[in-house]
Amino acid sequence: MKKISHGLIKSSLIGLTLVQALSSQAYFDKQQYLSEDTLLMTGQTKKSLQTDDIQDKKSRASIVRILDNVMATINKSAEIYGPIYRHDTRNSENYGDEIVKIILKSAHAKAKRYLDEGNPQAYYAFLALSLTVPNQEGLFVHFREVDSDRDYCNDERSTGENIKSSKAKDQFQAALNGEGGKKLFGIFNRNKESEGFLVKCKDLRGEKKYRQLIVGGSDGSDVGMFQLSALWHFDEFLNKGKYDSVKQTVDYGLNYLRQQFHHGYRNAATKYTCFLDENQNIDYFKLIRGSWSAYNGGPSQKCRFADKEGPYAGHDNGFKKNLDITLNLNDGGFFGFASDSTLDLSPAVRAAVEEVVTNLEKKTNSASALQSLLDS
Amino acid sequence: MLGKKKNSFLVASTVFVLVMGAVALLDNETSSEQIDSEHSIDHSLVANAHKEANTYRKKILEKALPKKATGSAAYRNFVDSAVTTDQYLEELRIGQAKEFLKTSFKSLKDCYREGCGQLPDEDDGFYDPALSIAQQSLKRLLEITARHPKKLDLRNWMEESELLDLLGAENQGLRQAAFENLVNLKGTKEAFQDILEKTRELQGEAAGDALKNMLTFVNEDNKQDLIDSMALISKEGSSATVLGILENLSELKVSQSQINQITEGLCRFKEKKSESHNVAAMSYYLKSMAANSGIELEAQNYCL
Repeated sequence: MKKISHGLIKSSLIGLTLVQALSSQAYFDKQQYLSEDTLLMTGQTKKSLQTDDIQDKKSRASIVRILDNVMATINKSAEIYGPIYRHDTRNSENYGDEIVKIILKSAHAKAKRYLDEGNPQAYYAFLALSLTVPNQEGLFVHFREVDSDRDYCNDERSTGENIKSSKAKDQFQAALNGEGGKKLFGIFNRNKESEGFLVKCKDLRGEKKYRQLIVGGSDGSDVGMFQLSALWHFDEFLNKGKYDSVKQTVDYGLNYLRQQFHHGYRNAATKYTCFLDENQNIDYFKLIRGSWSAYNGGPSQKCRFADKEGPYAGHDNGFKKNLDITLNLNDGGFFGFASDSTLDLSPAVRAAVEEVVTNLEKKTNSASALQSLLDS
Repeated sequence: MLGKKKNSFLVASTVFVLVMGAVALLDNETSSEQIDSEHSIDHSLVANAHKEANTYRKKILEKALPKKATGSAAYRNFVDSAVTTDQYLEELRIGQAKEFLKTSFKSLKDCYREGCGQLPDEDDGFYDPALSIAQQSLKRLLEITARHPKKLDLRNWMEESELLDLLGAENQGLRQAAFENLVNLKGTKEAFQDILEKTRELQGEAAGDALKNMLTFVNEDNKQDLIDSMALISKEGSSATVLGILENLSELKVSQSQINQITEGLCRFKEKKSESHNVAAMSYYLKSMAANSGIELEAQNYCL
């Protein structure tokens, strides 16, 4: 009898979970978090904001508001490795420099072969791609620290209650909190709840600061600065705990990105003619865009960016906006998510990123500042 | 389209739930601790992701595998991502493990190319065959068998042709595990010739990985066979395939005539402007090969 009742309850619980998961249409798109004003700011009016325009109080907080919706809170006892984003002191702490160094060193290791092969433009294209994707995916944030203010960590935020999209909310809760599961399965929970890398707010009572990890994605299980899916990138990333390190996350993310770039680069003449210009040469800006289309949609989607009417054109247009931010670096443009939340770079690091863009655009290979950064 | 797919998936999954309920009733190994371990709540990110990945992995595998394969401890250990390949056989009866691995291999090898029922993500359509549950499961399965070929009696149920086919899989780890099993099954000498022949059909990085793995078995007796294969691919393969091989074999020591033999078939790429970047790369790797071998690239035979 006991066995039968266990079986019945087990199957009904599993069924309920399945129905819940299948009927939920949670779709977590970072673009949905950007208000019209913010979109306008990042894409079109950045030049005017580069001057001494008065900062709009609401826009200054935009990155913070966005991050607040996508951060999960880290166990106070957990070890984390790498720079931590603190919004108000991000520049005094040289956060931008630290992030750029990690990204460029990792990207260089993966793209150096193109220099050896005598194609510096491919090399700089990959470096420019590497400077864009972490902005596109994670706003250049992996870990964040905030004051232990209830606005940053309360039950509603921890469970994704403020996420605008109901689909995104449902998926966030299922992946990170198990709240629904706890109510249904609680009667079977005879094991003591163990602490893990992420915890709920109540587990941080008394703490002065919260450390957080960026978690988002359409199903609530995309982790870190490169938004790596727990379903697709589980074995070699999540299961190995690489999310506790900025460097390991960047390495893994750029490795996956490089696979898409390299496959597109090698097969441009045969399989991906969308990367060729009218003279049958590789258009490296198209290769950059296609590499991200594949990163986002899968390897078969390399030419997705060229379909302006396609269902994912919005995704690719969003990426292009962030690519434009990168390409504007050697024209006085800002580095960071938006002009109201720039990441200052030291002169040496700024010179290095400008070299990347200039070399890409002008097909040159002058890299003294970049070499200094790589040697540091 | 997506709506129709979702509806039929809902129906299918409802049926699936009812079937699972019946399995749960009949499962004699179910214990209260087992229910607890399946449903206990752990706020750890990894534990939650384990649970979600396990659930999703089970969903896909239970579509692909026969019912009898999914009711055992061997199956539960297999889908538990917390159990490493080194730990897999611990506390399992070898007979049960062998039966499960054999049944699963036979099922998955037939459907892995199509994903064994796994669909693209609904929101962004993401799908990568290399990262699919089917290929990752096959990789895991073959990593287990590579560690225990005799214990699991591989010779009596794993076919060489099946492993050769997997040398062309998108997942690099799966290709590597297939290679290791091939060598275990056939021995290095026989495996060398069979893999060499298969390489002529492989593309891109798969071809490069297969030949790179064989470098440890190359000797003066079989090197010419390797060169012959490379030369054939140079004449007939895509530039991506040629480069997939050259990138990995540039340290191979060759003679003057052998490098001439390899380069002869590459002239055709020089005629296409769209291949200019690949031609430059071929030139670089061939020069590296020549330098490593202490020879010069003869101008009249080297048209890159």
